[in-house]
Amino acid sequence: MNTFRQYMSWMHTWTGLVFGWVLFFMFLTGSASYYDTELDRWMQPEQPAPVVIDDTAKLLQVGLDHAMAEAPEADAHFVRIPTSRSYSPYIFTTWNGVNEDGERYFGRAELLADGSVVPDGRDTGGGQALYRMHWAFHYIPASIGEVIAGIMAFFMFAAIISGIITHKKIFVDFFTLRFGKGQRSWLDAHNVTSVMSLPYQIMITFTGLIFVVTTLFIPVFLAQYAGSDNIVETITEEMFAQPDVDERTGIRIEMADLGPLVVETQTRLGDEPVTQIRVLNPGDETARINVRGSFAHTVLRETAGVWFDGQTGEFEKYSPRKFEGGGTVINAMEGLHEGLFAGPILRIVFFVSGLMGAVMVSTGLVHWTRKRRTKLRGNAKAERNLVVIERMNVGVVAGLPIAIAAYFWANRLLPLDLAGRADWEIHTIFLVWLVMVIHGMVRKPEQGWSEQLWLAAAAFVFLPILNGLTSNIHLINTLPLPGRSGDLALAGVDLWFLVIGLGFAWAARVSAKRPHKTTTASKSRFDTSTQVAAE
Amino acid sequence: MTWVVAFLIAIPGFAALSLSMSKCQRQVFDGPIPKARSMQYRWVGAFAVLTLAIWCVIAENWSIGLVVFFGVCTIAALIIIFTLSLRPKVVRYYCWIPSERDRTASTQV
Repeated sequence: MNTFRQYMSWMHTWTGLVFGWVLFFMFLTGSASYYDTELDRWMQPEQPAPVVIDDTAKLLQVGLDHAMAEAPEADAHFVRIPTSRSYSPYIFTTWNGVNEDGERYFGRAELLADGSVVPDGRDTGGGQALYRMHWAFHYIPASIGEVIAGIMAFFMFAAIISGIITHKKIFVDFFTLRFGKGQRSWLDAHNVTSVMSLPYQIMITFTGLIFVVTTLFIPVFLAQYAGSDNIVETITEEMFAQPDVDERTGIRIEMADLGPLVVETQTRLGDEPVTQIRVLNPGDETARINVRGSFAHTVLRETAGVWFDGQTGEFEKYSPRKFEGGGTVINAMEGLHEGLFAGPILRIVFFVSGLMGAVMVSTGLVHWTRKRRTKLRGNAKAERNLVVIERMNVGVVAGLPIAIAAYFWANRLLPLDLAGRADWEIHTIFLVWLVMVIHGMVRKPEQGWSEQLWLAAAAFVFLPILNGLTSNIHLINTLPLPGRSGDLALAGVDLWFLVIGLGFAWAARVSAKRPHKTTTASKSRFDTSTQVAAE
Repeated sequence: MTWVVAFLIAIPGFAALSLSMSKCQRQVFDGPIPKARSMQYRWVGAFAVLTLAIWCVIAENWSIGLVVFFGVCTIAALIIIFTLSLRPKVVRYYCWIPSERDRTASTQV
């Protein structure tokens, strides 16, 4: 019986830990993906400068002309000009249609203002790889990754809510963060990061769940669509229905001039800029043009717009941001999670809050492991188990940021013609992470923390310098100075590397301090062992 | 503009809220301050947070404004926390408190 309980205790410990580690990974890579497009650009330094928005109608026309030349018979052309939040810094055009064999085809292109196609940059995963990783975990099929991410979000949500209720004291200790007090400091850091960013943590976890609700909770769909002959087909049709597409007549026409349509749409949208356009049945008599605004005005992942007749350019109708039934709620939640609406400052806030989430999970892990070890003092076997975990925490927690920095180093240092280069960039993350875990295992925890935190500091602080040595998009060229606009998106990436690196250096210094001898009984409760409290 | 005003409201607001708690008072002033004064800080802080919410919604809209509000709260509180743990005495300047008056206040306890 005793052994059974020991096994259960072992399992309880390890499952809890693995959850923590995976959540830490999700928080860190997820936070990085708030800057996915900026990182995409940073990781392809040879790419031309982004398109400057001077004449919206003209740029949209460039995209449409390209789509028309590539796919004149397509069902739909879609053009988006760059905003601070769009996927591409160029004119981005996509199209889709059905070929002679009845198969649907898709096409896409990125264009410069003069209509030329943007050349391929180096083979890299970019920021998108980090974004994808935070829920798909890279090495496993995305469908399984999604389920894991969903389960993680579910437990995270339970942990947050139960944490608030159990630890009433967190609100009394609202402003308390004491450094150099060993165990107490880890707990303070855990409290502070979770309570300060509580609205964000609740939001990001709950909305994360919303993303996977369709995967995790299939019975909802089955109940709704029971009786349909082909459930999957019915759902797909309803979800991705093309709005009001008429049957083509086959009579080719000259499309209306975009200029006046953009002006009219702009008048209706007010200060929300026109950023995209959709054309249904382009070049056909039945063509319709939909000029649309941007994401920046509400948290919804939808834009308002105006429909026009494709041939005459006559106003047809105004289409507000609208969804059927609960669609608005779902859309708002997904929008909140992705933060596509967020301008540069709000994005900093999102990023910092995400990092606070990562700190919350990691300090929670460290605190929990140590407290448990103190509790189990005397039980040699259990204690040995926890020593192993304590050492693993070092490599998992401090090692992951190093591994992510290594991803950017690999981006610049791997040979450009390496086969499977983008894959090797990502392998670098996990290889370096593995090395860090091994390093953490063989070093004493306090040495491990110190060495890895300093390494993390160096890995990030030197990134802008590496960037300067290997590209032209370094701070000297990108910082906005008097007399030039610079390129704040790229400069911002380098500046964040510096800030993060300095942050790690600071953390390394703080954690190296030996704790003061505490005097009061209530404090020493947390400092049960000087060895435990060595950091 | 939205952000500058928001932080001008939020930082004094959260500083005042922190000063209403005895733990932080011990850090910032050299001892506890009169209860009535703690309550004043609490009211000032609460009023500031409310004002902040209203400002964010007016400056942006309901949708973005509330997100900005929570974000500003998080960052402002973080600034207060770091000041409190690294340079506690500085916190009083965040809400424009002349130091002398409070020192006398604390001696009156």
